[in-house]
Amino acid sequence: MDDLLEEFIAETRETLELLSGQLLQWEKDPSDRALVDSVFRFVHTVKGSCGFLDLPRLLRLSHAAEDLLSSARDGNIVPSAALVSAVLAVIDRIADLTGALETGRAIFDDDEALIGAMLAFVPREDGVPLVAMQPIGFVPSISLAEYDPDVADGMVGNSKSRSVRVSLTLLDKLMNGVSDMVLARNEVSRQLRNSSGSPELDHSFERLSQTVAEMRDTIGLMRMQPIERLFSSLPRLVRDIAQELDKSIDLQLEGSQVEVDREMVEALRDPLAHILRNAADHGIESGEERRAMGKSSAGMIKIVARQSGNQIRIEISDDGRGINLEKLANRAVAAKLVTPSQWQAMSEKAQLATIFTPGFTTSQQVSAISGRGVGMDVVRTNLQSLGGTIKLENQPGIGLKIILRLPLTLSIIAGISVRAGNQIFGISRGSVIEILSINNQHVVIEEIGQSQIACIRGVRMPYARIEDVLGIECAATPSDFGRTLVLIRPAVGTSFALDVAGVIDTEEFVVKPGAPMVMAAGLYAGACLPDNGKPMLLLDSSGIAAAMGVAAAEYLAKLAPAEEVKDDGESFAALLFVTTDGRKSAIRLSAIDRIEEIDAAKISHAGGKFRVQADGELTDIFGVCAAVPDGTIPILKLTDGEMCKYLAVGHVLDIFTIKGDVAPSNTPEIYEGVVELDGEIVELVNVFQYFESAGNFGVIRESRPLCFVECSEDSVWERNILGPLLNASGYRVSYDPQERGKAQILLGREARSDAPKMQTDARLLVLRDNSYPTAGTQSSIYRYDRIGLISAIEDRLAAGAVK
Amino acid sequence: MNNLYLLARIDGARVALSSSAVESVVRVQDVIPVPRSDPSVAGLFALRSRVLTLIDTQYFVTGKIRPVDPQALAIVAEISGYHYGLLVDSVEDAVAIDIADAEKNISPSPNWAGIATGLIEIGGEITMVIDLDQIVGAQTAIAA
Repeated sequence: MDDLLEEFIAETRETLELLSGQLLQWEKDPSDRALVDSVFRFVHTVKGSCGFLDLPRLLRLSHAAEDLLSSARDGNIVPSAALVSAVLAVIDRIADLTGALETGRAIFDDDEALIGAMLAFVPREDGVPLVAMQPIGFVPSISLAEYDPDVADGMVGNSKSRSVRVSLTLLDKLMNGVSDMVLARNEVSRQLRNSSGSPELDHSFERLSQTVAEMRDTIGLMRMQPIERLFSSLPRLVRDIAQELDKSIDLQLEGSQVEVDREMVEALRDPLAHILRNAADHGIESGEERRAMGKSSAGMIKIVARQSGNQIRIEISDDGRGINLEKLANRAVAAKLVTPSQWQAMSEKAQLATIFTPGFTTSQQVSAISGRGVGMDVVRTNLQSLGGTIKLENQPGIGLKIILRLPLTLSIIAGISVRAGNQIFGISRGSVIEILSINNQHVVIEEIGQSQIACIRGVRMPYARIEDVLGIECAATPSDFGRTLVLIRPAVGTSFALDVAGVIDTEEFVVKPGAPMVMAAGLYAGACLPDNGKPMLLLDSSGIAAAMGVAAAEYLAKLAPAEEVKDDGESFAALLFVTTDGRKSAIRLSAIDRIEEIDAAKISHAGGKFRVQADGELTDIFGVCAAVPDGTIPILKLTDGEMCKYLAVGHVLDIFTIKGDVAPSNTPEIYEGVVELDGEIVELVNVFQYFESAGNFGVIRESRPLCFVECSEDSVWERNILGPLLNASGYRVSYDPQERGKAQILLGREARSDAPKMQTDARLLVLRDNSYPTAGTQSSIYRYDRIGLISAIEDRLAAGAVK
Repeated sequence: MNNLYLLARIDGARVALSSSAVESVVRVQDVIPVPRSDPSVAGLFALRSRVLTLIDTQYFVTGKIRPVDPQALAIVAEISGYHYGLLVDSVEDAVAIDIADAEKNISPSPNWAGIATGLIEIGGEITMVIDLDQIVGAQTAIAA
């Protein structure tokens, strides 16, 4: 509901700002009908919103003003200067109260006096305006003479601006400045440690140090934004293209929460638009053509964004005709790019790559949208300038998939630092699957010929020592004691085990691009500067895999299939951990999405349970003791396939395979049973308990019921009041007529939904403007009846499910 | 046209570098090696909050990899968008040179050919004019 309130405040402010000029005009000419209308619309909108938001004072004020102005519009009263000032007093009060909503300031409640002053103008039964008898001794607290539009504007303007545009250069400067500050802080810290400082000095320094760290975190975030910013404009783009081409195209977006560098969002805008235009124009066939081919008449374009290791991967796939290589060959030959014999000799990949040739198009006709041959080469150039690559996966007749890979340079990634020889390197945490000690009993390093293979819990994977991959000397540490295996899943290729001298820490790396001669080694994703002031190279997991010759090792692994560990009911993998209150427990591995560490400060007790703020959402967290410790705590991210819950744990011990029977427990809703592990009895946690209390907010967006709202593009009430309410109640909302067919619920206003064909639709709910039903019309719901509306939607959904 | 050149010594020989790209001259500390990179890359070092690539310029001349001395002197320059540190023995002076005076007919010794664009006499001593782009461009061409 907070979002709604904020929107209401912002909107009311904006309208007030626009209105302020008109109010002055109105004062000069009280009888101007157009001005009366616009003031009426304003109070009407405020009234509407207040009804939804439970703001009784604002509701009373706006309601009274609406009544008065409505009489003025009907010609029952002639607006006078006195009437104007009474209305203005009320509008000022509305502005004050709106401001107070945000600041929490109390405004003296003499609303009734204001309303009384205004209603005095309403004619009595005998038609004589009260004002004629001069009964009012009350002067509005803010009289028109005192009404200073500049002051009011200033007040409105101050708090209205919620964001400013800042150039990236400035951001970079700020970021560098703060990094320097951190280095200076570390220097001071070293010196403080050497000198015997006073406790006061230590304390002050500690505070300074904390402030600097917080500031750096904030500035780091300033650069990142969800790719949603880019995605949000795409549905409209596709809709426009589809309309222009008279095709029906569905756009699916996935992974909009992936965070990318601001600069990247901007730089990707044009290439993505180009690709979408191409897909819609060249890829997706016309409706008849599609039906003839046995495809659904509506084309589909899907965009999936994913952070994969130290790359961002964006896939744009369509289910159109793909690239016809024969046609492409004809074109390429006709354009004298290649000779037919050269074409024959080219690999399919090289053949496809000809579409990136400048000035090349496969379309027979140049359309307004694409086909001028300035598409794909520009796309590729743009991507390359970002350090990205583009790949095509063509299936003639079935569709084309375009895969964009972009580096994470300039962005911040979470990573781990590992020791190799005498050096320290960083690895993006996204690509790390697991970290385990080489002395773990489940790890066996096998020698096959010249190469080595790691066998972890029976699964074989390529193995290499980091020092061998990098060609550096092993540090003179005593034998192999304490070496660590890092299991890495690179963006390309299969997972492998990297044997490092030690894992030092998890850190946030500010990735700085490496110079071309450093990147040429093919092993690095860039460099960063940790707090100690010494540069650190970031390893590129795909590059390491390539250097290890993972493909060859993969072949070996296939030759010697290991004993598969499956969750087949008889034996399954489980995670052994210590709960926050110190007991050993186990949990099914399949229920765990991943193991993370979260900041204890993000956990709060609200609404009767513990919740944690992560990835911009509130998620329930279990297993938290009443006293939340400071710092970070390890958590298990549990998933039932749709929802996520967190389970706080003391620490994670190991992964093991449970074979044989699970002995039943007395409390099956909490413990699935008990198992024996190395002679110890361990309780197996039942995951069900964490999900049974789930509300509908954890449900993935796509599975929420879709409500289609029948309205024009500029309708205020539907888009600003109704839509947010439905959203907040757990429904998806669409105003797009193309989605009407898919919607489970149709909503329309009595006055507007004039389409008779809709009335027979069982999904339709009609909303009326009056609180009482008009005689002789179909059944409807008052549009401000929040509870009635939601329960009516639920009834309809239930009825639909029965059918 | 900026014709101010920085005079420095690489492997004992005097060289002149166009000062337009040069930012400063620093003593480098904490050089982090970059395994498996071009041998002319001496490593990475930090300068304030930036990470710079340190180029072992003498490698172009001698073809030998030498360990970086602690407190080695480096010229900091921005070359095609990246910041580099170029290791030098010493920095002598900044002088204005009219590059047109350079001897076009005499080429530098084969060792220097990769990075030197010409010879010029300054203060009675033959000086090689070094092209910064070539220093970082030479390897990228090979790598690509």
